[in-house]
Amino acid sequence: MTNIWPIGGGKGGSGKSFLAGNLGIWLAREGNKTLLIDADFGAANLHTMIGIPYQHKGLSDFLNKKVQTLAETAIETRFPNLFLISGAGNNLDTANMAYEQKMKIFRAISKLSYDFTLLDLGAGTSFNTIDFFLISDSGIFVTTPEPTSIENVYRLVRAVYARKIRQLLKTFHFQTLAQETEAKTKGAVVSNPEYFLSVIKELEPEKGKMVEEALRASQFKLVLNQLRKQDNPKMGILICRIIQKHLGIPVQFIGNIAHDDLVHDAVCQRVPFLDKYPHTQTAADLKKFCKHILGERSRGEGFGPAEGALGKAAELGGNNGE
Amino acid sequence: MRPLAELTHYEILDLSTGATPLEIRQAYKTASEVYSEDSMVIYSLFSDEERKEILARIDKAFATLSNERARSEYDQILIRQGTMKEGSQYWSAGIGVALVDGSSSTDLAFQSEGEKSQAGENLVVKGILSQEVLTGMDLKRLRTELGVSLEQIAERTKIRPRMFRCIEEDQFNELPSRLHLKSFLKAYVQYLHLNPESVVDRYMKRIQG
Repeated sequence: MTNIWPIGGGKGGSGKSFLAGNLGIWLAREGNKTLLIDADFGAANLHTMIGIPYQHKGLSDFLNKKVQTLAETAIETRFPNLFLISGAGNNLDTANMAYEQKMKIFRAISKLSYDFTLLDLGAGTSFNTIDFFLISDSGIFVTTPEPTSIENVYRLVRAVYARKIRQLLKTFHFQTLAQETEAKTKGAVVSNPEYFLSVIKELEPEKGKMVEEALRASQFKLVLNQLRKQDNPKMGILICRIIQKHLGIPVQFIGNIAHDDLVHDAVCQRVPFLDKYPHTQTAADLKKFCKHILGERSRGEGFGPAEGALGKAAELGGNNGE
Repeated sequence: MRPLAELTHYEILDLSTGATPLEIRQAYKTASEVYSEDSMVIYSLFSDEERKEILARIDKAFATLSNERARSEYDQILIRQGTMKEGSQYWSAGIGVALVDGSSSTDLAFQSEGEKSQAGENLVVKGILSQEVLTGMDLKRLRTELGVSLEQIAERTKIRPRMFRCIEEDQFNELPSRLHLKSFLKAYVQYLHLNPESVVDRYMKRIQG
C-alpha cells in the first residue's frame, strides 16, 4: 500500500508540478521509493520538471491496454528511488476520461508498491481533476498569494469536498437523501457542502453523523507558493481559518514556499531546482514541506474513506514485503 | 460547522474564552483586515453585503469583549447556556485583576505576570515593553502596532487628541501641568490595556531625570 498525495490547486502556474517534482526528488533522496504520476492530462509537463525529455510511454498506454499493468508504464529517472508515470503521451481523449477509466486508474494506483505516490493534477475544477482527490484521504492544495489563485483554490476546495460527500453518499446508498436535499434547495449538493451536510443531518441524523465522521478523516493541506518579501506571511494560516469557518472544511496549513527567480532559471534549464540551487530559502522551505509529508506517513492512506481500514491492512502487508 | 449567527463573540474573533485584552485587540485588528474590502484572503468568497454583515458581527464582538463589564456579563450568559465553563473566564484565571467595580477602568490593568504572557504574542510590543525607558515614539509604535487611533482613545477618554499627540511627540511643555501629563498618559495606556503604572513610570523617568 502506498501513501497517495494528490496535489492540486485551481489555477495554472501556481507551482503544482514544481512542488510535486521537487517533493518527489527529496522523498526519494531520503530513501523512499517514490512514484510521480503526471495526471495533468492534456498539459502534462512533470517530466520536464525533473529533467526528463518527452516520454511516449505513459498513463495512456495503460488505458489503451497497450500494457497490462500500470506498473509497466513507470520509468526510472536519474534519481535513485524516483519513478515517473508520464502523462505526456496522453492524447486529448484522456483529458475527458470516463468515470470507469478513472476508477481503473485508482484501483491500479492503490495496488502499486511504492512508499509514496504523488499525483500532479491539472488546473481547474473539472471532474477529471477533483476525482483524483477521491483516491486518498489526503490532498495538497497549492495557491499563490494572488487573488486569482486564491479564488480558484476556494472553488477547488469546495468542489473536492462536495465530491467527497457525493462519493460517501454512494458508498452508504444515500442517493435518495441527496435527491431530497437537492429538491429542498436546488444546487445545494454541489455549491454548498456545509449546508448540504446540515440538511442530511436534519433529515437523517444517524446517516448525517456517519458522513460527517467520514469527512473528518480527510486530511487536506494547503501550501502557499511563491511568497514574496512584501507578502503577508500569515496569509496561508488566515486562508485555512476562513475555509474552516465559512466552508466548514478543515484544511491544515503546511507552510510558505519563498518566491525565487532562480526557479524560472531552473525550469528553463530543465534541471530540478533542489539540485541546482540547494542553498536558497526556497530550497529550505521545500525541505520543510517534505519533512512534513514524511511525518504524515505513519497515518496510512486508504483508497477512499470507505476502504480506509482495508487500506491500512494492505499497507501493513506491503511494508512486510519490502 | 455552524452558521455565523450562532458563533460566540469569542469564536467570531478566533479567541479562547480566557483571552487577554491585548489578544482581543489583536484578534480584532486581524479580523478587521481579513474582512476589509480589498482583502485578498477572502477574495471571491463573499458578496459586499455578506462581508459587511460579518464585519458588523466582528465590531459587536469587539465592543462587548473589550469592555470589561460587558464582557463579564456576556461570559455569564455563555456560562448559563453551557457554552462556556465556569472558571474559564479571563478574570477568574488569575491573570487579570479581579473585577471589583465595573465602572473603574483601573481593573483593566495587567499584573506583571499577565503582561509577560500577553506581550509574548507580539514581538514588537514585547520588545518595546522590555525597554528600561519609554519615549513618546515608543508609545506611538505600541499604539500603531495594536491598531488603535488617537481619535479612538480621545473618544473614550474625553481627552482631546492633541494632548495625546503632545505626549507621543514628547512635547511635555505643551500640556497644562505635569499632573495633567501623568493622568492623560495613564488614560492612554489604560486604553491600550497595558499596565499603566509600569508604563507611566518608565515614560516619566526621562522628565524627572
